[in-house]
Amino acid sequence: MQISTNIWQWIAVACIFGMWSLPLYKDNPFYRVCQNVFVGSCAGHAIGIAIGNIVHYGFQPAIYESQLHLIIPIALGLLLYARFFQKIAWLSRWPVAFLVGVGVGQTIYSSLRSQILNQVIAAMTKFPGESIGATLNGLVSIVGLLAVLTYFLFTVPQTKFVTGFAQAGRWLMMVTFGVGFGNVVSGRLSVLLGELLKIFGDWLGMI
Amino acid sequence: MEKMQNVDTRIIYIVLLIVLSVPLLRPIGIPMQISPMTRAVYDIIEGLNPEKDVVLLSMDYSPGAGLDAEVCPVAVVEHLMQRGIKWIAISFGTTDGPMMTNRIIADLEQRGYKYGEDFANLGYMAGEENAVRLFALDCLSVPTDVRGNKTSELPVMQGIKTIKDFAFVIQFSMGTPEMWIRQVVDPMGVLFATGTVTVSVPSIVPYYNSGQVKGVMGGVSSAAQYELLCNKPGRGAAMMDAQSMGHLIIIFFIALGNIGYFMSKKGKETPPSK
Repeated sequence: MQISTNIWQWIAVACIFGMWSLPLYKDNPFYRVCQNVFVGSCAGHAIGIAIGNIVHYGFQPAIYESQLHLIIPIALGLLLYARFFQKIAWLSRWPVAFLVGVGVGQTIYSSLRSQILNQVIAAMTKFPGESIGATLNGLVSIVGLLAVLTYFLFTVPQTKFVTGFAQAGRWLMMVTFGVGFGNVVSGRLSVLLGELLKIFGDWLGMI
Repeated sequence: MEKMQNVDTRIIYIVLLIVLSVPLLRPIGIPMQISPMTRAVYDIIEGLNPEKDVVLLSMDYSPGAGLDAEVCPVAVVEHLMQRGIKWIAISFGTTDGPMMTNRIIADLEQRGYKYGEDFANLGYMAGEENAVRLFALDCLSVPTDVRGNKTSELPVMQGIKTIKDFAFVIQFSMGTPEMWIRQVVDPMGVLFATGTVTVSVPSIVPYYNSGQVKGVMGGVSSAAQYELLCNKPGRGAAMMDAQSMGHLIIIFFIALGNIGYFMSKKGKETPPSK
């Protein structure tokens, strides 16, 4: 065991214990200090990066490389702050409209292709498959897909067959949610393990 | 029965801490299976040519995601360095990305690798999906790297103009890679894989099955598998025993709660009236 002499390791471990003090004890000043340090440092870092971006991508090329067209996005960006002044607040709608327009235009067509058409194509399986396993896999996949879609069909008469098939879709969704929950648990345990590695490894030098 | 359903959360936390700590300090060596999704990433990098290929890493995760997000890029970068493949990192999804990249770079520089020649960190580019598209069409649209060097003058960037000049693109994030699939993978046919946190893996599997994403790494377990494939066990492998023990404890508490629930329900059933 060789305990770290790095002051930052000590601060990191103190913050870990501070955050753990909430579930293991109760709300306390130590916890609140650690929480505020985290929120403050994150916000400060994000502001620093944002200012750096404006300087590197906007002001410097506009001033030193005479890329005068960059004045337009800089002006639009500044207009976002017009909302804080009641008389000219309406001007902030222009950059918002621009952002929404570009964002929607950029994603509508590509979403349709990537997330609907290509996924539908991927759902079409070959029958029979290359092996019995592949055939069964494809069958489960296609029946599962149709069952889940049936669960969300509200405009067809709910006959015995439709209700039964929809029920199968519901069960399949329950299995999927179970898989999702299992992954959440696993992911959270990994985060906790990361903290334990910091304590036993980086700080105490036991690993 | 009531007690079985309402175990004090502090007891669960303390039991969990003890159970996770012991195998971390004294590994048991529980065997691991290599997932095909993880192996796919390894095989892609094994197939690259160190003489001419450059890899792009999109570093879109924050420190808040912990080691679950960080172990995958560390394992992949280790593999890239083992093979002598150059790489460039950029961030679109979070402003913390460049900082996380710098943590990896600091270690590499201590080991003698050269910034600018073996790798570079282009920093954070604002605009998310639109920025991804802009960078894909013109990689020199990023004027400088995080150290203030001109991007066009970096040795590692020579010959890189569009995203198609990268042999392989891999995104490390805390979520799913839809923006890359929409803006780069499908329209430009780029070889793409992703590394994410464990929670997000089920949402990415449909893209892996459709072939849009060629490989998926998910959290600590994938990183551990990757480290084994590279014959260099690191932090991922060190955590796997503890992770497995943690799962067993969670299963135990879920079973305990359910047994308590069903037994108390049985006890409360009123006898049929005569």
